[in-house]
Amino acid sequence: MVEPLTAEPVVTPVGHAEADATVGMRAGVLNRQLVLGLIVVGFVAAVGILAPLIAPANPLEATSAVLEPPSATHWFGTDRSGFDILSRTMYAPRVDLAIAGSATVLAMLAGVPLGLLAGYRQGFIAEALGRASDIVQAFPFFILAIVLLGIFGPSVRNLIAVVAFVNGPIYFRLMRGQTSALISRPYVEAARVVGCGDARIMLRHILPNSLAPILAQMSVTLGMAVILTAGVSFVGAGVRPPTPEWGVMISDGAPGMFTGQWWPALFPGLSLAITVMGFGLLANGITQAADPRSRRG
Amino acid sequence: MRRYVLRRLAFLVPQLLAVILIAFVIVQFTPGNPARAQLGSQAPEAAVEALEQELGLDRPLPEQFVRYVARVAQGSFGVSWVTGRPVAEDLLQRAPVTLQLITLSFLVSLLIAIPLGVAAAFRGGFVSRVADRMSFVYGLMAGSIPDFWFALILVFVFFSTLGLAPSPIGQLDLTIAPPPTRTGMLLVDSLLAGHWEAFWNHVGHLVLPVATLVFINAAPILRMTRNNVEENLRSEYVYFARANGLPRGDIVSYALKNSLLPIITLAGVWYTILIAGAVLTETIFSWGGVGQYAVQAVLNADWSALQAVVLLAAAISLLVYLVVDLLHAWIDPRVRT
Amino acid sequence: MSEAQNEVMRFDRRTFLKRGSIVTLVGMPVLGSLLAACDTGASETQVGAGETPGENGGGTTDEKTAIVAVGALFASLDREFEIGAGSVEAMTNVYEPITAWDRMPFGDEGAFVPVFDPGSWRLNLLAQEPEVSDDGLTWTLRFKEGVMSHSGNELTAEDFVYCLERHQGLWALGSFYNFVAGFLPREREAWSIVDDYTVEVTTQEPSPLFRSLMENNLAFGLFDSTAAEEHATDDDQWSQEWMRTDGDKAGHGPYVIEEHSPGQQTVFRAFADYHAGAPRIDRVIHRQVDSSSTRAALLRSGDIHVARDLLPSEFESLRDAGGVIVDDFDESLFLLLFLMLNNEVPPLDKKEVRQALAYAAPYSKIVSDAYRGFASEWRGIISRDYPNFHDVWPYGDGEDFDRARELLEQAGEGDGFGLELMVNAAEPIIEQTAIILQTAYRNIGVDVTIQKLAAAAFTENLTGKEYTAAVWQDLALTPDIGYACYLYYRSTAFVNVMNYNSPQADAMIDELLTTLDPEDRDAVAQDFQELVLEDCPAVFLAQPHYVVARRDNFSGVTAYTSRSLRFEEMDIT
Repeated sequence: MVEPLTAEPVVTPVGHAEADATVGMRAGVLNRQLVLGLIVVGFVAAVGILAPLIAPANPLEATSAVLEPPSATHWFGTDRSGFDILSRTMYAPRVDLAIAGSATVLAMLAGVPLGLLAGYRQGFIAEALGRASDIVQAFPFFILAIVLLGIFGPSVRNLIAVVAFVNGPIYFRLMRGQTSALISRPYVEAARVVGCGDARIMLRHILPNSLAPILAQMSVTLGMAVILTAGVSFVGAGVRPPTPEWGVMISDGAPGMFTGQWWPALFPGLSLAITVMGFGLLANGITQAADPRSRRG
Repeated sequence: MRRYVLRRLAFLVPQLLAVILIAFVIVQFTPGNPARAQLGSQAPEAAVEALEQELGLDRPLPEQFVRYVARVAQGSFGVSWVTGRPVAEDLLQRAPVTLQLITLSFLVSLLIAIPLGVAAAFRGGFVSRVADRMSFVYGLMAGSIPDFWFALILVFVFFSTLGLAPSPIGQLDLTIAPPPTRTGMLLVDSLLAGHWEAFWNHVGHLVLPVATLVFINAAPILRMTRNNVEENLRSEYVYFARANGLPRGDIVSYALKNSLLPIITLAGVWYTILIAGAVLTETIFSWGGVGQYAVQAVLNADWSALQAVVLLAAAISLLVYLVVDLLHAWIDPRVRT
Repeated sequence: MSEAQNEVMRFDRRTFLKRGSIVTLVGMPVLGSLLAACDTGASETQVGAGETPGENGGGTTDEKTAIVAVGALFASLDREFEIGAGSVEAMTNVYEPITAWDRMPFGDEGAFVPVFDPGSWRLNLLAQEPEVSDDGLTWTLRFKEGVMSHSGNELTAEDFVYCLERHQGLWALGSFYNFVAGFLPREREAWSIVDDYTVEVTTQEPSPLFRSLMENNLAFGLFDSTAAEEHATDDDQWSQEWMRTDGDKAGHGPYVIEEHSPGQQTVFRAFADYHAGAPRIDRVIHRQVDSSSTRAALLRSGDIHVARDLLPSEFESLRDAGGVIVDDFDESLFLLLFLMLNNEVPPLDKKEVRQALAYAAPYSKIVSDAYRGFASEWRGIISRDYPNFHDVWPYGDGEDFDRARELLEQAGEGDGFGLELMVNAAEPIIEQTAIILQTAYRNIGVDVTIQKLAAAAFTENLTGKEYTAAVWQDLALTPDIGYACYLYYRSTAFVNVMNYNSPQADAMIDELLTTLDPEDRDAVAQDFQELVLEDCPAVFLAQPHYVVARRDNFSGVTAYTSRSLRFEEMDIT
C-alpha cells in the first residue's frame, strides 16, 4: 500500500522569487478543493459522531440474517455474522478517525519541535536526528507497523503509537526543511538584530509561517493513517473484531468477493476511499490557499 | 563530488549497524521462547534446553548481538519454524518473485505516467486539458483507495463475475508445470526454457496484481512529472533559451532533463516503498513473494523470518536512498555543498 | 504552422511512440489473459481418470493422480511429537495401523463413516484375532508374515517392541498412551517376544480400551526398527532427526513420499509391495493452498479433487456447483466445540457462574448461523456417537437468560463481569461463534471482549493455561469413554486446559480405564457424565460436522476421527 510521504511541497519555481507560506487563511482564499474537502471530512466525522442516533441497527448485534444482499431493510446488506453493514459503516469513523487523529497529533507533537530545533541549530545533533529519522523511514512502514503490533499486541493504544511512530519522521523532515529555508529570511535576520531570543524567533516567526505546510501535511497524514489502520486490521494485526472498522470489515468481506457476495467488502472500502479523498482535497486546498500560484493537486 | 560520496558512505555503515541492532532488539521483545516456538509445545524440556544452548540464548545480550551480526554477515538468518527451512533459502526463493512483480509494475507505471504527465503539463489544447483533468481525478483516487480493496474489486469483477481473469491462486495455474528455476522469476525462466504455455499462463496471472500496483503507484509519478515539466517550461532559462531562438527540440530536451531530476528521487523512493507496498497485493493473490512471507511470519510468530525480512528491507532501502542521493549529487552540482 | 502547433506535434510523435510501446505492453497481458481464460475452459474436464495434470516430470498418461488441497503440508513425520493436521494425514498414509475400523456407507455416492463399535474392526497387520488371558492382563498379538516396509525389511515383533520402547524413551505422546493403555510406570517392561511374529503384551491393570487403541496409529504405530536404527546416533538414540523428515521410509503404509517441497506440495507414490495389494491411485499430491476460498475455487474448476476446511458459505455454494459432491458427515460425529473456561480464574472459579454461561449459551444459533447447519447440537461431554454416551443434559435448549441471571445473583456476580475470550485467528467460523456468544451473553450482563490470536500463540496460551476463556474445536481420536474422559477431564491430563480438578472425577476415570465388564463400565460412564455436567467446567457448545467437498468422480472418502483420507481407499473413475 502506497501513499505520498509528504504533501506537495510549497512550490518554488526555479528562477522565480520564493513564495512564503503566509499565516492563516485570508478572506477570499476558500478555494473549491478546500471547501469540498471540508464538506467530505465534515460529513464523515458527523456521521461517526451521530452514529448512535442515526444508525438503523446495533452494529454489534449478531443476527441470523447472514450474508443478505442489500435490501429495503438492510440498505448495505448484512455480513457473515448477520451484522447490518450500513450501521457498521456509520460507526466505523469513530474508530478510524479517532485512531488517525490521535496518531497524527502525536506524530506532530513529536516531529515538529524536533524538526524546528534541528533546522535552527544545524549542528551534530541535527545531523544525528536526521540520520535517525532516515533509519526509521528506511523500514518499510507497513511491515514495521505489523511487526510492532505483533510484538506489543493489537490494542487501540498500540495502534495509535505505531502509526504515530511511523509518521513522526515526516513532520521532523518537513519542519526542519521549512526552518532551514526560513532562517535566512530578512525578517528573521531583523529579529535577531533587534535582540529577540532564539525561542521567541522560533515561536513567533518561524512556526507561524510554517503553519500551512504543516496543516496540509496533517491532512495527508490523517488520510494515510486511516489507510494504515485499515490495512493493518485487514491483515489481522490491528483492531479487534467485531469492532466496526473499515479494514476489519473489508477483511471479513474478502472471501465473499471470490464467491460473489460483493457488498460486505465494497461499502466499507468505498467509505474509506471517500474519506481519504476528502483529506486529500483538504490538503490540496490548504496548500493552494497558502499560495494561490501553486499548482493544484 | 568525492567528498560528498565519502561523507554519505561514512554514514552508511553506522546506519546499517543501527538497522541490524533494531532488528535484533525488536525480536528480543517478542513474547515466548524462540526455542520452544521452533520445537512446538509438545517437545520435551530437554530438547528445548538443548536448542537454547545451540542458539546461544543463554548468553548475555551483547554477546548474542555480536554472534547475530556475525551470522548475518555470513548470510545465515536462522530457521523458519513455519516452513522448516533456513530463512535465507526461503528469501532466496521469494525475493525474485517480488522483484519481478515490483519491477514490472514500476515499468508499466512509468510508461503510463510519464507521457500522461508530460501531456498534462502543456497548457492549451483539448488533449492536454482532458489529460490534466483526468490526471487530477485519478491522482486523488489513487492516493485514497487502499490497494487491498482495489485488488479485491478487480478479483470480483474480472474473476468472479466476468470469468476473464484466472483464479487468484498464485503465479501459475496448478496444472501447469513450472519451468526449471534459473533466476527465480517466472517470466524469465519460462522464456529461457521455451515453455510457452507456462509463460502465457503466468502473464495471465500477472494482469490483476500488476494492474492493482500500477493503479495505485502511477499517480504520484504522474503528478510529479506534470508539475516538474510545467515548472520547467515556465522557467526563466527556457524563456531565455526561447528568446535566443534555440530550436524547439533542444529547449524541450533541456526542460525534460531538468524535470527528470526529482523523478529520479521519486523513483528511488517509490521503489523502496513498493518493497512493502506489494505486501497486501501479494497476500490477496497468493503470489508467494517476500511480502506475503512477512505477513505470514507476523501472524505465525515466526520471528526469525520476520527479523530477516525487516532487516533486509531496511538495508535495501538505505542503499537505494544512498544511490538516489548520489545520482542527485552527480546531476545537480548544487546538492554537493 | 505556428510555433505552438509545431511544438505540440513534435511532442505528439514522441509520446505516440511511447504510447505505442504501452499498447504492446498492455496488449500482451490482455492477450495472455484471454489465452489463459481459454486454457481454464479446457481444463474444466481435465482432472479425470487416467489423466495426469502434467506435474513436475509427471508419470505416464496411464497413471491415476489425485490432487488434494490442504492448508498445510506435513511438518514432521515423527508420531511422538507431531499432531498437526497436515502431518497426521501424511502419517496416516505412510504408516500402517495394526488394526483398522470397519466402515459403513454414508449416503450412496461413495462416502463412508467408521463404525465406532469396539466389537467390530478389521485385522490389518494382525494375522488373527488377538488372544487375551483370563485376567485380562496379557494380550498375545500375532503379526502377518511377509509385510514389507518401504525400506524393504519384513515386519517382525521386534518392530512392535521398538515402538513401545521408543514411546518410553521419548515419553512425549508416549506418556499419554502408556497411561491410557495401562502400561505405566515408565520403566516397566510390558512385553515379551515369543517368536519372530508373535509378541505378548501385559498391562498393569485390565485395559478395556486396549482393542480400540490398536486402531490408533499414534498409539501403536509401528516403525521399521531396522531402518530406524540405522539412522540412530549417540546423541539421537531414537533417530528423531531422521524420523522427522524421512520417517516414511520406516513405514509400512500404502504410500511413500516421493517428493516434498515445503510450502508447496508433497507427492505420495503408491507402494507396490503394500501388504494388501498395490493401491488404485498411483500418485497423490498434497497441494498447499492457504486460503479456503482458493481451495473452493480450485475444486469448482476441477483443478483439484478434494477440498476441506472451507467456510460454510463456501460449502453451500459448492453444493450447487456442477461436478461437485459435498459430504456433510452428520453420522459418527467426533468433532467437539468447547467454550473452555479457566476454572482457576475468577469469577469462573464459581460453579454457578459457569452454569449460568451454560444456560445462556445460544446453542441452536451457533448451529444455524455460524455453522449454517454443518454442525449438530451436542448436549453432552463426549461425542454423542461414541459408545457409552448418555443423554443427561440438564441445560435445556440454551438462551435461558432468566435462569442464568438467577445463578449469577446466587454467585454474587449479579452485576455482571467482563470476560476475555480467546479465539484462533486461523478459524473464521469460530470467530463468528464467538461473536454470537458475545451478543447472547450481553443479555446476562457478561461483557465479552474477543481476542484473536495467531494459531501458535493461541495453542501456547491454551495449553499453558494462560487464558480466561477460549473457543476451541478438538476431538478424541479413539472412540472410547475412558480415553475421551481422561483426555479432557482428568486433573493430570495435558489437554485438561480448564484446570478442572475433581478427585471424584479422577477416581471415576481411573475406574473407566480399568473396568472390563461392559455393564459396570456403562454405569460409571453415566455417573461420570452427570457429574461433569453438574460441575460444568466448560460450556459444551456444538458438534461440528466433518465436511468434505470432492469431484463427483472421486470416491472412497471416510470420515475418520483423524480427519485424514486413507488414499488407498480412494478411487478416481
